Amino acid sequence: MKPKIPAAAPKPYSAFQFSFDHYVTAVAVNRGLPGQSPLIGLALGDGTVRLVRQEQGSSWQGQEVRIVDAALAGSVLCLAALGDGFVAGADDGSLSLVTAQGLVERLAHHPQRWIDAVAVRRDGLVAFSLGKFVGLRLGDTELKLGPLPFSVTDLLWVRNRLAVSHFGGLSVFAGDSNWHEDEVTVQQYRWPGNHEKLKLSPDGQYLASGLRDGEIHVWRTGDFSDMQMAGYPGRVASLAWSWDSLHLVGSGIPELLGWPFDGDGPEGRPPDLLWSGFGGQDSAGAPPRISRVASASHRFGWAVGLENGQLVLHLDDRPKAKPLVVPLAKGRAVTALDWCDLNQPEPGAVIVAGCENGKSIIITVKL
Amino acid sequence: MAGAGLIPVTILTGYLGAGKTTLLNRILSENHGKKFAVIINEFGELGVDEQLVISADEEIFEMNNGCICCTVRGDLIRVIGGLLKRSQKLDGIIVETTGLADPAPVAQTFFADAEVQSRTRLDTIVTLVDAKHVTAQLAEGREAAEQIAFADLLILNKTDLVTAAELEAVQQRLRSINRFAELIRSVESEVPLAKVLNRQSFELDRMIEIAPDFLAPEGHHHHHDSDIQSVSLTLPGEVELEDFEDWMGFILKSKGADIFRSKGILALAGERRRLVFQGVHMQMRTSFAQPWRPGQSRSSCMVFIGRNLDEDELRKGFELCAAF
Repeated sequence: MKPKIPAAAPKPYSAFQFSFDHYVTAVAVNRGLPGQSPLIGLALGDGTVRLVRQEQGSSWQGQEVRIVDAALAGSVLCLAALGDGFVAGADDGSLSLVTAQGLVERLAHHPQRWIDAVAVRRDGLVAFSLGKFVGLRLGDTELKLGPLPFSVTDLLWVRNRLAVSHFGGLSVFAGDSNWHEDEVTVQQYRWPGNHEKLKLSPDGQYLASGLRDGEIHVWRTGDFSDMQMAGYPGRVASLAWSWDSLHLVGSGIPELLGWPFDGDGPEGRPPDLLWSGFGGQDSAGAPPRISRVASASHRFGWAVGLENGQLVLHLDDRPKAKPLVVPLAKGRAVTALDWCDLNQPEPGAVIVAGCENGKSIIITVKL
Repeated sequence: MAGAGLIPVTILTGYLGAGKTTLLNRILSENHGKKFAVIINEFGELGVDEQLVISADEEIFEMNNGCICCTVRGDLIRVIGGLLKRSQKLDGIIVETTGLADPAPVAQTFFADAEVQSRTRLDTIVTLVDAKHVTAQLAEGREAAEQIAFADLLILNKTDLVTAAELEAVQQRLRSINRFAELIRSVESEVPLAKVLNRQSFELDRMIEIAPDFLAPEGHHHHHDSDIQSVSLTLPGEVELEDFEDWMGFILKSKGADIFRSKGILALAGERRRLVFQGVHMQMRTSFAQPWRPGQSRSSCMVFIGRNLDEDELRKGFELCAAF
């Protein structure tokens, strides 16, 4: 399929568009080994993961990998890079390893449960949601942490500690290298509301939580003291930090509002308006809201997915620089978005987005 | 039709042993060619090996919206969000509650969460009642009466275990709590599935058809042995929307904790369509339904099912909403 991208590109880039006809629930990028091109994974509502890789030259090759038995009609719900491939959780209660070759190894299976969040530590330790418990894959064994007061909604490694979001706040687990039962501790950090999404700042100093109730709450990772920020008028299903950790943005509203983390931080300060007027209106005449956000971690760059199916890229921090607007899916929300900076073979980034109706795009940028 | 394209949701409630699991097994094993997702509670056990059975821990969330009695089922919000990602399209979602569950949080989930509201519609609250044990259950605590009060459909089950006179007495008892639900009798949860699934209980014509009492004044022949009762109000002619919204807003704010269900059909001044509304405690949803037929006399009616309702006060308030 030919990419529909405006000619005036700020940087050298290439794009490849796909149409899967299924809800794109998650996307992830595996940088791969030095000398290899990155491997891109897209998790879909039909129970498959699609692996996509750029072959020598420039053609993109895709591979369909089935995770959930087709008869079960389930959906893959979460995806993260692991080894040379990915780990995928699904609503048939399975956790699977997908290798770069497309082989599937089942790591766990909990029928009638859903695995909808997964986090991989730098050394490959996998944590996943299991209702009110957290599952840990330690070698070939599975450990269960918990129960927590409410079901796990997201997981995130903060160095060796595991932060878990749920209704009513955050729980942080710590343990020894084997997560031996006697050594595991858990600390609760309460904040009312339905916490759904966690994001760590690139400098590791702050942990942000997005709430369904329309709020963003931030903890300092040093002592887990928290910062109270003014209300936010939309459901925060997605969060991103600027590469310099000075701005935090969220989804759920039509503008890209950046909470300032310079100086005294965001407490008692209004957010900066980073961008507004993405264009277009929905049937009720309202501007489209942001459904997903992602950012570069090594240099300036924002990716914004909208509920109307547009993808907006800001690759240039000069004040008058125009964003790149990609019409991806007509009127169907961008539901998965990831940005991965690459340093080899040359500095650049790969940005992956997928929509409710399966329209997807991979954009590579040279910087 | 209001709510076209939204996935209908059936809530299945009832005391332990009332026959919920038997009914669910019937729904899942009957060859109806439809695809339902069934969300069972953590204690549930179904005999059918069905792929779309999801086990959920009932998690009650208090909403951060300043409304003290607004609680929702957090697990449902998550499961429904996930179901909507599946490629396979669903014909319905059935939610089973635990035996002692308060039906309010599960019903309110479909009013309070924007995403859930945009994709699903609450179709029917079904309450199964054990004909033999309900009298004792009503004496035990408030759960049994509240489950009956919430119902759009009451299934009076296990009728083979009581005498005809006992059955009549139990039915009177149910009617004294909830006068507006459709009531059907059954043995071993044997009921036609069309009665249970996708009934469109909240459509105007259905409301009148299934509950003929809906428009009838109550009279005073009902014996109230429970503090829960049903009140119906009618108003010939049209209603001024703004006045109605003000009044209803006030009623739900001040008395919402005691009002389990409210429903109504309104003839609005200058509007050819009927306005249908339904509420659960303080949450309310309105939508436009079929237009009034030419020549049909326009009138508005509403019902409240709740605790300690002051019928005269409600009637006076409603009458002040009349358009002039």
